This record gives sequence, structure tokens and C-alpha cells, in this order.
Amino acid sequence: MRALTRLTALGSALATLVAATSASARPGRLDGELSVDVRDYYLRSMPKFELSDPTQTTGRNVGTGTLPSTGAQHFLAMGFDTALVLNQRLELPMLGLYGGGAIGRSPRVISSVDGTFVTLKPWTAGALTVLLPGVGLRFKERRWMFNASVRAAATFVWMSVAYSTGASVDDTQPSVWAGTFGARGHVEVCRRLDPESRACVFVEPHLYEFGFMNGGSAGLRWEFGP
Amino acid sequence: MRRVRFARWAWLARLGGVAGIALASVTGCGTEGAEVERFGPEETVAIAPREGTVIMEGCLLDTWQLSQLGSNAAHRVLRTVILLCPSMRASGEVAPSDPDARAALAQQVRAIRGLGYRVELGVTLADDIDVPLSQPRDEIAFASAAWRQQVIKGLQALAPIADGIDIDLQHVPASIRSNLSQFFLELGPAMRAAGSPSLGVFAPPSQKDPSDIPGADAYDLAAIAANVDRVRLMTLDYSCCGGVPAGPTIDSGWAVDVLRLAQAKVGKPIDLAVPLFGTDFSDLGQRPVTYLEAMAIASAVHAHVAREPSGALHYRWQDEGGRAHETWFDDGVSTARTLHAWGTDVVPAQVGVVFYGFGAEDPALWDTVARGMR
Repeated sequence: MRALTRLTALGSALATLVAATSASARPGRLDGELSVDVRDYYLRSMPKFELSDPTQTTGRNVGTGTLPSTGAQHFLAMGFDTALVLNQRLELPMLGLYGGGAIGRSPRVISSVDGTFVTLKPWTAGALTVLLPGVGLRFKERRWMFNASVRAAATFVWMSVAYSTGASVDDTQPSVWAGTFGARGHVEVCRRLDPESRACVFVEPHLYEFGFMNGGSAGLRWEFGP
Repeated sequence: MRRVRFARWAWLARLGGVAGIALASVTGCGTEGAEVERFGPEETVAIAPREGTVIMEGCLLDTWQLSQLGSNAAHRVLRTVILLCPSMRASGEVAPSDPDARAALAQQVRAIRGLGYRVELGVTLADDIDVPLSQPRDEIAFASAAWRQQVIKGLQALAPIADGIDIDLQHVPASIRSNLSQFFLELGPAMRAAGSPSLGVFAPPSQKDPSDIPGADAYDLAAIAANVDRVRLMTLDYSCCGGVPAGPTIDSGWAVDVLRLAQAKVGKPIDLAVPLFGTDFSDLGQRPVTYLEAMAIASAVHAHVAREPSGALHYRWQDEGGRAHETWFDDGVSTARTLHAWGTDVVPAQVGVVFYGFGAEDPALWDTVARGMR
């Protein structure tokens, strides 16, 4: 939660900066754009978690193995994004970052590794995504703006686990995590609030994220730029 | 002017409100769901097919046990039945020695064979009331060449009855280590000479070397295994013996460690044991309980029966005398989870499973396990 607060503060600061620089935007030149958003980040299927190193629990030294997917998961996430806009038409998404935590009711999943039972706790899951460059188009109609793009992304998810040995449960182990590079689409509709800011709704299908067409994001975005 | 600005932000507020309501209705608040996703009361988990054996403590099966052995599910899971019946005495005699009793035992073996199973005889070391010998008497017996020869002669006489003999020595002292190895050195060739198709040994579940179990160092597994056909690791009583907190009868990870230690010493086929009985813990000690008894007590005292991630069931209760009890037991679900945790990537496919305590199990156990083997 503290990380999200810091993220929001950082986004606000950058928004002020970009809004100031883009005030001088003119057709035929490159403009900067910054946005902050809040989203429901949804994975239709959480990834499997590879345990590539042995884990010393209170009961035994558990060897390597793979923990199964915990199924579908929603996250509430916040973050910021940056882009370059050429001639008010060609949009080049640059770098962004958002993170969030699991929401909704998530049943525990019990599996085993090297003979030891492991309980996965998807309701403790977290996600962090680094948005990477891409390409897109946008056009404006009076106060409305429409935007579609595709881009790369790197995503990490993690969650707490507990190892059971006999009657004891060891839930002091570090979280398990998985990461992937992926690609995602982005479609948004924005309404201008003032000359330098817009409020947008967007959907972001995960073209590839731990698997093809694995969920997507939807949310609200505030954009600052021409 | 103020009205215009208000209208602009009201639009945004409406948009945000709708999105928020949609988000909340889809998701919730990041909490644990009530049900377990992967395993549940009706669960079926994949189980690797293995050489299956069941051990019955006694000489004669009752009608319930015979009925269970006749089921398709039991045939799918089991290949061998071990009757833990004959017993070596301190005198060197091998009981039962009564001709009628031996005839009844032979008849029982034939009946089980008729159901399509191999039948082996598990041989204990006990006195006339089936209490294991004291440690000094164990030492005297195994140190005596005459005793060993007399016992081996008695076992040879039993060999033709069954498809194999398994030696089950419980609570022997570590001091008999060399004499125990000598016993198996003499027994192995003798049983082969008598035409016994198989000789096995029940070995204690050591996790370390030297063993972490009292008396288990009596077993020089490498030496013994050279003279037997199968080693059955008794991975039972995980939460056993004074001072240990109440807990499950088996831990699947612990059993894997026990197997790996044994595999380093034994080049013969190995079995892991799975308990069919539970344990009732009180300050008077521990008492094995059947599944039906455990469930009946839980019902009688209106106890809440909890299930651990391993599937093991347990509850606390108080008896009529005010004494506190904690009862742990297994059912088809917990046994299936244990067998599921022993995938062939963890426990090699050639390792067998021996179910201990036939008759004490959940009546649904064989069906649950057989379903997982499909």
C-alpha cells in the first residue's frame, strides 16, 4: 500500500512536469504525454510457480518443483505511463509502471512439492507490470479522443505460501513469484477536461501474458498532454 | 461559470462511480474463499499406479474384509495381502503350532488366493499374548545360533502355505544389529531352499543415519537387503511416542526422506507404508483407532472435525472422566492426497505402497484411491 502511495505521488509530480512542457505542443512536432490510471488487472489463469531452489522449512528440506496455477485472479492496480505523440496522430507508448494487490474472494489451493503439502494463498497475491514501448494511433473528434495501440510489457506476480509438515504449518517462507514478457493491446476513449488533460476509460487485452489471451485490464485513466 | 465547471466534473464523477461499482461487483475485497479449489469432499486426484499390498493384523479375515477384497476397487489398488499372523517365540517355536490353527490359516490363504490376490505371512516376534519380547530377551534370542536355526526351521515349515514370508520385528534393541544381520543371512538361503517365492522385511522409518528412531539401528539395511527380496519401510506413527505433540500418523514429505535414505542402501524393491488407522492421543498415551470409531466419537461428542492441508482429519474432545483427547485419523481423501503427493517424479514408479491396518480404513478408501488411478 505504501508503494502504491509513493507511485501515485511520483505520477502526480511527473504529470505536472509533462503538462508544463506539452503546453507548447504544436502540430508537426513531438509531444510528451503522461497518464495515471487505476485498473482492474485480471489474469484468466495465474501462472505456475517454479521452485528452482530447495526450501528449508521447519520440518524438512523441500526439493525443487512446480506449484500449479491458482486459476483466475483480479487485482486492483494503480500506476503511471508515458508516451510520445507525433503529429497528434502517431502515438508511441514509452515506459510505464503499475502495481497492485489481489481483490475478490480467492480460494486457497493445496498442492505438493517433493512430497510436502504446500498451500497457495492467492488472496495475498501482488502484481507489478513494467510497460514497455509500443506503437499506436489516435484521433480526436471535438472533445473526444480515441486511441488504440499495442506494446510490450514485463509482468511479475507473487503470492504467499505455507508448507505443512505433520501438524505444523510453516508460513514464514518468502513468497513464490513468476515473471513474463508479454504483449498487450490498448483501446481507450477519452474526453477532454481542459486543453491539457483528459479523462479516459480503457481496456487492455493481454495478447500474451503467461499465456495467450490471458485476461486483460480495464480502468480509468487521467492523461496529461496535448 | 461555476455551473459549467460543476457539470464537467459531475460527468467525471458519474463515470468514476459507474466504474467503481462495476469493479466492486466483479471483485470484492481480497479475501480467502471458503472452499478449497483443488481438493474438496468429492475430489479425485491423480495417483500413480504402484505395487499395492495390504496388511491385516491377524490370521483370519472377517466378512467385511473379505467383502472389501472382493470389490473391483480393491482389485484395482491391491495385489498382495499380508496376514500378520505367525509369531516367533522366545522358545524358538513359530506359532501357530496347533495343527487345526495351521489348517485354518492355510484355508484362509487359499480363500484369499481365490479372490485373486497373492498372500504372504507377516511374522512377528512376541510372547504367547502377542506382546513384543523385552529387549534382554531379544538380545538372548538373536545371539543364540540354536534359536535362530529353530526359528528358521519353523518358518520353512510355514513357507509352502503362502506366497512369501515377511519378518516384522517391532521394538528390537540396536544391540542386536550384527546378530539380526546374521539371522537374515541364514534365513534368506533357507527360505529359498524351502521354495518360498519371496522374503521381505518390515524396516523402521529412519530419516537419518545413525537413526533418529530408538532401536532402528538394529537394522543394517544394506546387509539385510542382500538376503531379502523386498524391504517394506514402515512409514507409520509419524507423531509417535512420548513427548511428541499429537499429529497425523504419516507425513508424506517425511516418508519421501525415509525412502531416499533407504534407497541409498538398498538395491531391492522398496515399499512405503500408508496407515489405515488413526491415533487417539491423551495423557494416558496413544491408542490406535479405526476410521469408524473416530467418526463415531466425533459424532457422539459433537466435535468439530478439521481437515489439514494433507487431508488428515482431527478433533479435540473430552471423555466421561474429564480427560482431554486429541484424535487424528485418515480417510479416503487424505490417503489419496498422500498418494498423489508421491508422484513418480518424487517417488519412483517401482516403489510400492503397503496399506497397514486392513479393516480400520474409511469404507470409501479403496474406491477413492482406485478412482485416482484411472
